Amino acid sequence: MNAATRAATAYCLTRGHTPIALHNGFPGLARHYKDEESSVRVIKWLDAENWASKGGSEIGTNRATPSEDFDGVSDALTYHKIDALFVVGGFEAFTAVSELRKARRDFDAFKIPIVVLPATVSNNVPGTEYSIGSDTCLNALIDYCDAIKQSAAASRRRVFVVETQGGASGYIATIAGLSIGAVAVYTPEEGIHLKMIASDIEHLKEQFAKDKGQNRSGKIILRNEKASKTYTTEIIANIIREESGGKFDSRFAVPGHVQQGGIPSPMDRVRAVRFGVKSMQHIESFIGKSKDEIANDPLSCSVIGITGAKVQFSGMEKVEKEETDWKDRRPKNEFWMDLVQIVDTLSGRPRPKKEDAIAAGLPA
Amino acid sequence: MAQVNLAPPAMPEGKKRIAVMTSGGDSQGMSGAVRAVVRQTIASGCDAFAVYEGYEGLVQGGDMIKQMKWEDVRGWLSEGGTLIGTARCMAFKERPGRLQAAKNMIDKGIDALVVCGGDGSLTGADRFRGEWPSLVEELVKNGTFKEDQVKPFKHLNIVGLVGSIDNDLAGTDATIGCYSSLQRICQAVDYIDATAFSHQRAFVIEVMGRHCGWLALMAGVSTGADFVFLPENPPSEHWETEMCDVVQRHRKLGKRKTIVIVAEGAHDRQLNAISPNQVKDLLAGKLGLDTRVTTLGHVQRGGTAVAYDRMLATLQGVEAVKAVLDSTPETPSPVICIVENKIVRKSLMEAVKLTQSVAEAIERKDFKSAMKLRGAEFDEYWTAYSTTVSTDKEELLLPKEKVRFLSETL
Repeated sequence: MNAATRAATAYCLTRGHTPIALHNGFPGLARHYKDEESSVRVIKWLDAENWASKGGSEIGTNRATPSEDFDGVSDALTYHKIDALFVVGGFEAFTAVSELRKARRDFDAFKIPIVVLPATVSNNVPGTEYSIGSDTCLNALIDYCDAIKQSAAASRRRVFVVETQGGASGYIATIAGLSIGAVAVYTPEEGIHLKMIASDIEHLKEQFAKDKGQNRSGKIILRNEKASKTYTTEIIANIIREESGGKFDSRFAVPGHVQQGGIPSPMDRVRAVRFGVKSMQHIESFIGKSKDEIANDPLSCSVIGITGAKVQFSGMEKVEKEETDWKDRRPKNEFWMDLVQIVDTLSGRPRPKKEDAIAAGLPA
Repeated sequence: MAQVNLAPPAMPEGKKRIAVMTSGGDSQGMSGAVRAVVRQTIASGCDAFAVYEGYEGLVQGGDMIKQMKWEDVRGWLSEGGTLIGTARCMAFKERPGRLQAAKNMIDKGIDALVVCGGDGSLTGADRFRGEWPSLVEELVKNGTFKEDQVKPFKHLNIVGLVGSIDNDLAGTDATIGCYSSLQRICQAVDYIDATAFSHQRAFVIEVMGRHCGWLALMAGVSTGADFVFLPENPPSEHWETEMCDVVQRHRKLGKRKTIVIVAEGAHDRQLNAISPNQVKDLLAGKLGLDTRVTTLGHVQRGGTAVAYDRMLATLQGVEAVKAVLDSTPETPSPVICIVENKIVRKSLMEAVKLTQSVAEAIERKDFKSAMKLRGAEFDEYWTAYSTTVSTDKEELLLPKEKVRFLSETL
């Protein structure tokens, strides 16, 4: 997040715009814009200069969205003569920008160019296949899993069930699964059912039976935090241990917020810079246009992201209506769903049967 | 009388014996690529082989070409470098060496080869494929094999995977290993940052990349370095003054540290090499900064692969096997690339040609073309870097009527 803010700030200064930080999200803006220690502050270059490699967000963030106080947000933007808005954040930021777009009917202050740059470890923002922060999260997770795998290999015949973050999106679990060679990946999209667990235990039994004491025998199952309400990470580990017939052991592990923190990975940093600059250039393209011209241009409120082989801006309205699963807070078509099969193929895991999933009332 | 070899029987229709090899400089993620190729091969009902020590293993044959079982590659994703080795091989550069390599492959019944390496290794593979029919013919002529034995081996399939820390192959946004290497560099610079800040020092950091400035540029972007030297886009004729001006301006703004990144292939516009020590002498001599040089060296190849490289190695390894199974004698050898977030197949030789044209453009001092040939993404990063590193360049300011100045806002 900081790398993006820094890049946008630098770009503004280079071109002669005034970069203004809205501290602590929309509530900060609405409540404290007139305070002496205002939440609306011009960013000086020296402040932002050393943000390139910092984790977290230096200007603070807040999950609340503008609809809680449209009037306050509108007043604040008008009071400070804000000409454009660049929002960096996850699904809440996406929701916030969507709300602002819809409220343009009633508030002229929102008829300004708005870009949202998806930044969340969960990578669940519609309109992009990649969010800033997700790469850092993946690296933290694979380091954690590597360490656990080593321990599992040392004590032989042990399966770790590791709980990953990601909200209702199995992206992190799946890509981490590809990166560490997980035995199986449990995602919210696919869900978990008893026959799936049973089949995976069978598979583990076969694997351990074949083991002739070679190196690197640690095994990991990755389970997304919301993959199932009933089959929690701990319960799955217990079931596996119980059913192993004493042939192998099973433990669970929850890395938790290790996945959120730390120094951002270089990929997240360079992409933040690139997308930050691109967003500013996009905003610049609206210079000289009237409020209504802006409001009538679908791209005046957009999300920047990667889709397939392209980096592009997508109009919010279209993304909101066609590409967003609002209930589960994730994109409708998640590009990585096909990759789950690759994890299975490469670990030799038999694909869970569709009819079993349907019988268990899951979407399959 | 020449001994007649017995090649193993042909595989059933649609099935192949697929060998995988790593070649050229090692990079993080190569082992993961081998794992993916081996397992995807077995999962597709084919036989998997590994050629140890690169082309050397191909020429030596015997135990250097080993059939791989499912369990042989267990845990390889978490290993750095390449576990099947890589080596320089002079013998393969000569026809007799390649003839021997062809014989060794037919001995094992191998009809497809996945090569993971840099552009040099991939070019070698494609040339081998082009020469293959004539090599097979010669092996029959000299009595090594009988005509009907070589029948299943009329064509050799080659698929390229790009394993390199330099990220220098045109056509792909990333090579297997480049982001791990970038991670090592950034980690080092982040460490150095702290001490540079403490002592108000300047550090000149040399990074790898041969003729390619990708690592240097990306390191510059991600660490907010004050100045970067790239082979594709050398600084102005008066680069000494230019650099010192930038550094001095940053110091005047209140910066306590200076980081300058020099690509190992850096040069000026006349192609005279620019060395880290030259840069250091300038910073120390002209600006009086306490300056140190850090050459990161082989640390940049070290360690395990980052998540992205593991994913790339895995998905590309899988795609390589699919490409082998899809290929016909007519299809040109593919190289597996990634464009933004999409794994694609491209023509191997076209990618190599494009890559070489960058080097040629640099050679001609046609830096504009060199930047263009590196691809749109590279150019975009350069623009992003240059607009974000110096916030006080007159020529980049928008006309006054297009911006709202500070005084108007508050």
